[in-house]
Amino acid sequence: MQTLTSSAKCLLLGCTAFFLSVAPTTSKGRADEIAAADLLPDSTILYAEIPRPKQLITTIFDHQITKDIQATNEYKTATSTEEYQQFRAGITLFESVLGLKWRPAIESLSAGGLYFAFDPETEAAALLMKSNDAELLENFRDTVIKFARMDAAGKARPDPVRQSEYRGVRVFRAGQARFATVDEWLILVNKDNLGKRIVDTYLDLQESKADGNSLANSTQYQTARSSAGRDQTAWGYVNLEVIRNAGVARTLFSGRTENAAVEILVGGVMETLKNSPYATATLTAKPHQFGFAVSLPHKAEWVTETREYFFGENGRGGSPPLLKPKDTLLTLSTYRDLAAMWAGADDLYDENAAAEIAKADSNLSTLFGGRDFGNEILGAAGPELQFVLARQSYEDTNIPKPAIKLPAGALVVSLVDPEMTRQFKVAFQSAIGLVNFGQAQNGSPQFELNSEKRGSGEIVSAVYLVDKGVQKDGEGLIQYNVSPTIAFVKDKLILSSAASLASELLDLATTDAAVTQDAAVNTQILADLQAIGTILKDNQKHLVAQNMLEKGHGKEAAEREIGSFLKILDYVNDVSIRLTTETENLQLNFEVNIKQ
Amino acid sequence: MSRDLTQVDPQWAWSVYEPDSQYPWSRRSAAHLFRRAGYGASWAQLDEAVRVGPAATIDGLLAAGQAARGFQQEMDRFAKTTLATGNAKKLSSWWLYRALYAPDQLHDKLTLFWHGHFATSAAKVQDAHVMYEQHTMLRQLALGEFIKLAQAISRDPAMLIYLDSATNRKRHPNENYARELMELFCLGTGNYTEQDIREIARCFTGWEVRRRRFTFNKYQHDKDEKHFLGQRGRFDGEDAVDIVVDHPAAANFIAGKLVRFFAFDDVEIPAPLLKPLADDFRKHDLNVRHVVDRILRSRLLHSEYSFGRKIRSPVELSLGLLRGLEGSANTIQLVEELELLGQAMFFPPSVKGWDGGRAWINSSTLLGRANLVGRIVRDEQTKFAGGPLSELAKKYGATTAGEVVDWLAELLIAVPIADDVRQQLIGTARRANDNPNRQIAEVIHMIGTLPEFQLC
Repeated sequence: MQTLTSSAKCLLLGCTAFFLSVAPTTSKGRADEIAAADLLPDSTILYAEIPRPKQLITTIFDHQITKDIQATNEYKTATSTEEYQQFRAGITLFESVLGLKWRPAIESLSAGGLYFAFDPETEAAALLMKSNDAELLENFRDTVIKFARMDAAGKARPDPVRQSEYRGVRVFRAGQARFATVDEWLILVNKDNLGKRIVDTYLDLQESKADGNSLANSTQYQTARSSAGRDQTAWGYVNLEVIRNAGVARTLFSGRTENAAVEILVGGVMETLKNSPYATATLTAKPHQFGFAVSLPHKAEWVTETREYFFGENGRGGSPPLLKPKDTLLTLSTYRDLAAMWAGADDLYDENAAAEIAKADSNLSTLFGGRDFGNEILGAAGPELQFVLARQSYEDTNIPKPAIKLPAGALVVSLVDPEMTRQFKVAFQSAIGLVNFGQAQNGSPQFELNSEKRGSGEIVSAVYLVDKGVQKDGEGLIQYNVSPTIAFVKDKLILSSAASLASELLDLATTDAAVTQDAAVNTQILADLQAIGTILKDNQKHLVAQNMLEKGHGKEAAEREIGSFLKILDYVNDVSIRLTTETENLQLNFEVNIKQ
Repeated sequence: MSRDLTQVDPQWAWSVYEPDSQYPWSRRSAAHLFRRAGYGASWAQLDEAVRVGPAATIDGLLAAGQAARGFQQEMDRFAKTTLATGNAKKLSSWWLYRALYAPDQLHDKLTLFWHGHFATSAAKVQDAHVMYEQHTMLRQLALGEFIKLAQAISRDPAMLIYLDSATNRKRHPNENYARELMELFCLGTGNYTEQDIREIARCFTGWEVRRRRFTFNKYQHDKDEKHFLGQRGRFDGEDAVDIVVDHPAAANFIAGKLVRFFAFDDVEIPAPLLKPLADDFRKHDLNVRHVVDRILRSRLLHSEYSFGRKIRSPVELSLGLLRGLEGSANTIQLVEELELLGQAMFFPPSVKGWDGGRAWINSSTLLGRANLVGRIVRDEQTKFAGGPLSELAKKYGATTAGEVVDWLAELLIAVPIADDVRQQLIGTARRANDNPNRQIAEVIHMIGTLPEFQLC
């Protein structure tokens, strides 16, 4: 049972008795049943809550990663500064005055949750905190005031805290902030109107006089709230409709972008943002998983024709499975009809970007022997795209291992028109010829083209011609990471920066069953942090050198810092992002999985 | 006292400095030596120099090259790692890092001198590896005989690419290198004719670069007789360098340039003043160590004729500040900042190198220099002896505003400051007395704006 002051207990008992006898159907009469959303006005457009801060504090501060970070020299150095020591001394003093260590104090003070809101009507923000101990909350409030007054006195400044009363509640004002405690609630606002409104609602609810115009009673909020889970660490809600109508962030809601990469990645989401009434966000923090999700109501009919390339016709476009060759660092799979996007470029991009695309179209058409790049070349590839980044082994090549080891990247697409295979091959050879011409002018190494049949597939690769006398086990040039390759198997076209990755993907494509697509998943990305850690270790001495140059560290200090970073990285298994379009809902999930 | 060099007795000038009442050996004079023979020194190093005296301090500077072998090996490995990116700007960061921590300060400073003398820019060479090879060669030969340096630079791939010698064919001799060999590298103007240039250019025909290495293409070499600088014969490039370096003007030209590098800039050295040094230089086979030794020990260097008579280059300004305050640095960022101030290592502006002297200062760079000083001392990443500025000041006994100002002035400023300037600095320190680190940073930033601080 929460600890309450005697007056609060009386008030609570009185209110309970009153509501039980007079208004049994009014569930909001009991002080401990009042939620933050009950206190906030229905005009609130931004609301965020951490219902159980103790859980979050435990997850963060008791986690093994935190302990390991605290054991690093860098942490010790950072916390040995005079400023930090002063901060620590301040905390200790605060704890002694409060009579409680900071952690149990915060856990108790925020046991009923932390809430933040912004109300455009009053143009004010509010921070609410619900304690389980009203006496401790008052003590905390008084200690904060005492410290502020001590600090001002020490600097010979006037009393920074002014006190007044509103409906029997003591209200304090310091600078722009107004705060008050009412029973277990701490109310902190930056404008009087919102503060009064919250206090009024709280008191009126207990007297059953509340007007009912609260955020909790807003239909839209209730709809958004109904989809929220129960075990989330934090939850937030934004009223997009009001923001759009107010003309805020016009660019975001305009549905147009200047940047092709942004368009390809999130162009479809912008279409939803243009129409969706609200958005919710959920944060989940567990010892072995950290998740963040944004959810928006979504309807297939909201998607205009120009953005069909993103979701497919009637929103049925789904991404193929993720490719996972050996030592995959990052793998991405998505549905994007690039030919349709290319064709609709004028409607998607601003004038400059559209002009650039037109220019690129002309140049690329030349490279592809005069064929129309948008219609014929991009049109020859299906909308299911797979991209993968993988660590290279360098074992099967005759070129020296590069000193800096970069991952290989590959794009895999399905060919709608298999007849285009030859056209892609010729364009690839032409591109390598052009590169060789430039390399020869600079006196740089050139590529040698190789072609091989591999099972039912074919691989055309360009490998650097290594200078005579260069040792294979020597520290090779950074360029030796690259052996551009194009490969064909079944209906697949593989375009890779390294021949070895292309071979592996070709083998995978040969053995894999037919590609299945999940219509609900539009885009998925998986980053394997363990594999990324391995490639960083491959390049550890370069990271150390970079650290020395950037931070002026000696070699040992740089090695320690990079070692600590790699150790922390080692805790994370993988990071994933998924964009899904379930029934009437668009959801973006971000998830970090921590090693068990 | 007059600073007119024509009034200076050459015998006095080049005799060995012995501290006396007029020019005592103090922290300030030791700081002067370290600024000229290196990039600056910490308070502890100045104390040690005062304790051991000028002769032993200069001995230490000259001998540090041998003592720094372990450091050099580590820096070589570091450089190779840096080179993996193929980015010459990264190499520039590496050199700043080396210079900041180098125990062989004189050696590094002389490498910078030769880099400015045999100026080669990575902007044209476009190959960080050959730039590093040249740097290594300059460092190895920095204190040796000048003839070896001149021979090595003539075959250096970076220089051959930079001055277009790599395409020097017998039917179309390229005169660039022949001209600069005499005008900028060995003799100076007025000591050769256009005919000499044409003839020497023929000597270098067939000197090419293949796969980053010097190669001699005998088919493109002009084997016929050449006639220049009073000599006649079937000379090749090596002979041409020998003949040019053997010219009487060479000793004067190099010794004069070294005196201007160490003692003062923007001043014409009277011939009678330079002659004894140049003659001694020639007598010792143009041994650079010998002439540098004489300059560093000379009364001239330790006198009013040299104190504050140079303008700090951007490299000297930033590294001097950091070394004085035992600071660490983000040398990648520093390279960008020094480039804006006109000095990026491995990227000299032309074959003439950096003009130096008053050319470092204009209304834009003056502001930039002060801002750089402010940025360095306020940057949270910068550590001073591994900690904050206040701890460093406390370590050396500077705690009050007056002590902090006096400590910094002696450590960082080449000439004594006027009392009203000192009071202004103390006022600055007092205004920021609520935070000791900010207080010192404010004072240093203000020092960075002083005309006195621009002097070396």
